[in-house]
Formats: sequence, structure tokens, C-alpha cells
Amino acid sequence: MGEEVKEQEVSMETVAMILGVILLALVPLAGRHMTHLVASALLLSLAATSFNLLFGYTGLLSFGHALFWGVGGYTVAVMMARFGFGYLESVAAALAMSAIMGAAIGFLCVRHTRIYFAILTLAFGQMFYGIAVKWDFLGGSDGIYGLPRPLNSLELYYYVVLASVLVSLYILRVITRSSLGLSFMAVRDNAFRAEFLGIGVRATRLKSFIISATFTGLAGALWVLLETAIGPESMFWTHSAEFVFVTLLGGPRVFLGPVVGGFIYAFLADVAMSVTEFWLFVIGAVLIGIVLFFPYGVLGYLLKRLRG
Amino acid sequence: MGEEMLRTENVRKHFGSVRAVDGVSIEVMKGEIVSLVGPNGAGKTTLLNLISGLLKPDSGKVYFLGEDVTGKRPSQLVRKGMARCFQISNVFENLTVLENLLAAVHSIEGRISPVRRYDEDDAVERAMAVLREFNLHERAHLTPKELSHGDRKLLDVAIAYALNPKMILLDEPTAAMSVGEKRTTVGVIKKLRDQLGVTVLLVEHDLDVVYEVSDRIIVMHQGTILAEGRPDEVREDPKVREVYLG
Repeated sequence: MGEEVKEQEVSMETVAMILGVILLALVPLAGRHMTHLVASALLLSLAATSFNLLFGYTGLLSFGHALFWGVGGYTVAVMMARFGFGYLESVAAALAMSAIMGAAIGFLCVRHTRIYFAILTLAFGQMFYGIAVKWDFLGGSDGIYGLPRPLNSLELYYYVVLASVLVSLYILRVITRSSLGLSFMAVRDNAFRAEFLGIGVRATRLKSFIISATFTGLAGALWVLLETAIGPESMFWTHSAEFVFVTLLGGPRVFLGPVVGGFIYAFLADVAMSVTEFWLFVIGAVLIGIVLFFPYGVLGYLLKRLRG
Repeated sequence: MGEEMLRTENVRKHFGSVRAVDGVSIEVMKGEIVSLVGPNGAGKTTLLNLISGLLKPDSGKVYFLGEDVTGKRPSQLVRKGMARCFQISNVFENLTVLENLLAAVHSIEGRISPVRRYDEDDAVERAMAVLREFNLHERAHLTPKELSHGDRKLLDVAIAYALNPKMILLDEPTAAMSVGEKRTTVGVIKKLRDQLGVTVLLVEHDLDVVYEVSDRIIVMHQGTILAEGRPDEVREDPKVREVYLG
């Protein structure tokens, strides 16, 4: 009986996924604004899911993750605008750069946990924001703009984004279900005992940090090509807070929580911005509501209700 | 006498002016169950922490299977075959009982990889076999929060056993247990040695448990060894009576 229920649940999930993908594939039919909005939501979702590998799965709250979004984004912008590379090479370089930066910054940050880890990541994020604002090579406060959009078409590029995000989410899902993913969760729950299981706690945290930084960097890289521009505000701490917000909104203990959060956030911000200049107030009110009434996030709450 | 499993040589650990462990030398042979007893503050848990790598001794040496392991980290000692359980059950609260075991199985077998599913069949089989040994297999899909106090302690031991240890250090396994739970634990300690071939070093307050399971008893007092011997010898030792009964 238990098995049957489980099978039914799995097939319901599969059906929901397939419907979701079909719906996403049809988005360009709904016009340019919607296409742009959904592409942004997809990239925000990918970044938040990557952030959540570190937060929800490994127990480390990074308050500077926009740094990696910016590293990915600026790498693409510099490669294309300053050195004339194509977008494929540029995105590949962005992936490598995000992984290297993730390794270097992660190496220093994973020595600490809790508030100290959060503050360290925040400090690194703000440091690189400062560099981006001041360094002319990166365009200073104006950033780098006027990049060519791949395939010269928003609609076609949308499919590049969709495919990249789906493949990335699949890879992240495989990781969270792997023995490495289990060791992330073991470290999250009880680092002390994990050490007595022979799990190297710092090394495990660093692995999670690097994977997380790499996929956040990919999201930033693809986003630059969507916007055809990047500015230093993409690395500002409020952008890092957006990843935290989106994850809490959807639910950090469910793999697709940040994706649901990303879509709710993107659409909510879009509507709120078109209605009122006080849209941040709306966002703030929603966050307060979520934390007070849905501590497991929207998806976390729904699944809890569904499963009784 | 059998082969040596563990030996400490004059280990010392002071915290400020407190001489928690003050030059202690003990030996545990393969296949033995040895108990460390003594009043509160005698230095038993500190000695266990020095042996298991949680603390580094100020001086002295720890040998495990003949190798000098002084100052090695717990994660390194686990790989050499030394596992440990804790006074307050120390498990992974948000994972299921089965996942708690799987984390141990994957780690000790060197199977941690980003592409290997953690619930692959042979790992689950290994983990379930361990759970069956401890009679926890029917609770495999519960989280530790849903277990009774006794079962949580058992889970703690099962995790340690899943690490294929040659020796397990048990820190007060029967603390806060009911009489029935204590009987189960006594059975588990005997089973670890008799059926599963694991050497046991036990810190325990309940002397009935100690007398029942131990081959040898080491009595600590104020950071040093007061007496050592077979249960009947220790029971009759006047120094021990004095410390325990005043």
C-alpha cells in the first residue's frame, strides 16, 4: 500500500514536471515582455537553487552570493566586449572563473559557520562590488553594456536559457540525491558527528561552496546575455539578499522550493513595479508574511499539507 | 594475553589549574570489554576525548593497533577502525534512521561521489543489515526525533558500528535509561564483542552494568588511575570503596 502511494506521488510529480516544461516551452508565444520575464525568473531560480545547495543542504547562509552572479556576468561581458570572444567561449570562461573564485573565497569562508560565515561572504561580496564600481576596465559604475544577444533573437535565446537552466537543475538534483549530497546534509545537521563518520567537514563544505558558486555564476553569465548589459549593482548585497528571500519564499527544505520562490518573486516584483513605486514595500510585506505564516516556504507548506 | 588494541602512555591534559587527566597509562587488548569508572570529574570523558582525537594531550602518547595516533583527528581515527558514541545521543536529526546509517556506510567505504545515488541498493542493504543487528530496521524511515530515548542511543551505537570499527568507545550508553532499556543495552554491548568482534572501551556510571559486561575495570579518580583489575578484584578493593562510598 505504502509503495503504491509512493508510486502515485512520483507519477504526479512527473506529470507536473512535464506540464511545467511544456508551459515553459510555449512562453515566447505570450510576447516579448513575458519571454523576458520568464527568462529572468528561470535564471533567478537557478541562482537561488545553487545558493540553496549551500544553505538548505549544507547549512551555510551566504549573504554574498551575488558576487558569483557578478563574476559570471562580468567574465562574459569582459570576454565579449573587451576581447571579442563569442558567447559560447565566454560562458565557458564564466563557468571556470566562478568555480575558481568559489574555490578561493570558499576556502577562506568555510573555516567559519553561522553568523561569521554570513558576514564573511557579505564582506567579500561588498569588496568585489567596490572593485566593480571603481575599476574602469569593468566600466565603473556604468558597467558594460551594448553586448550582442546570442542568436540575435530574444525568443531563440530564451530557449538557450530554458535548456541551460533545466540541465543545471537536473545536475543539481543528481548531486542532492548523491552520496555527496547526503554528506552535505550530514554536515548541516551535525558537523561534530560527521567528523566521527570520517567525513572531512571543511572539505565537504568547500565542495558545496564551489558547486554552488559555479551554478550561480552560470546564471549570472546567461543573465548578462539576456540583458545585454551588466552593472556593479548586480553584485550589491541587496541582490544577495534576493537569493535568500527567494529561497525562503519557496522553501529551503524542498529541492524545487527556490524555483517556485524565484517565479513568485519575479512575477510579484513585475506586477508591483507596474502598480506602485513602493514595490519594495510590497516585497517586504510578503517576506514578513512568509516568515510568520509559512516557515517552510510556499512549496514546503503545500507539500506538507498534501502529504498530511 | 592477547594482542594490543589501544594503549595510552602517560597522557596528560590540564585545563588551567584543573588536572583533568594527569599521566594516565591504560591498555586495551583485542576482544576485551574494558570499563572506565569513577566519580564525576574523575577524567573519564576527557580520557575518551584524548583517545578519540577530540582533544590533543598536553603530553603523552596514544597508540592504536601499535601505531602512534597522538593528535590525529577523529575523521582519521575512524578510518583506522576507532569509532565512538556519545553521552548525549548524537545523530543527524533531519535525516531518517536509514539515512543516518547510509551517511556512515558511504563515508567509510569511500563511496562519496556526486553521481552515486545515496540510496543505491547495496548501500541500503548494508545499512539495513546493521539496523537489523540493532533491531531498528522497522524504524528505518522515521527520523531520530520520533524514536524513544533508548532507540536513539541504539541508533548512535548502530551508526558507530556501521563504520566497520575494530574498537568502539562508548560514553555512558545507559545514562537516563529505563531498566528495560538498560537490559537491551547490556545485550548490545555483549553482542558487539561476542558476535560482531568489536573491542569495547566503556565509560559508565551504572556499576551493575559495568560488573556484568566488563572483562576489566579501570577506576579513575582526580585524573589518575586509582585501581585496575577484574570486576571481582575491583569490587573488593578498599581504595575503590573509599572513593565511591566516602
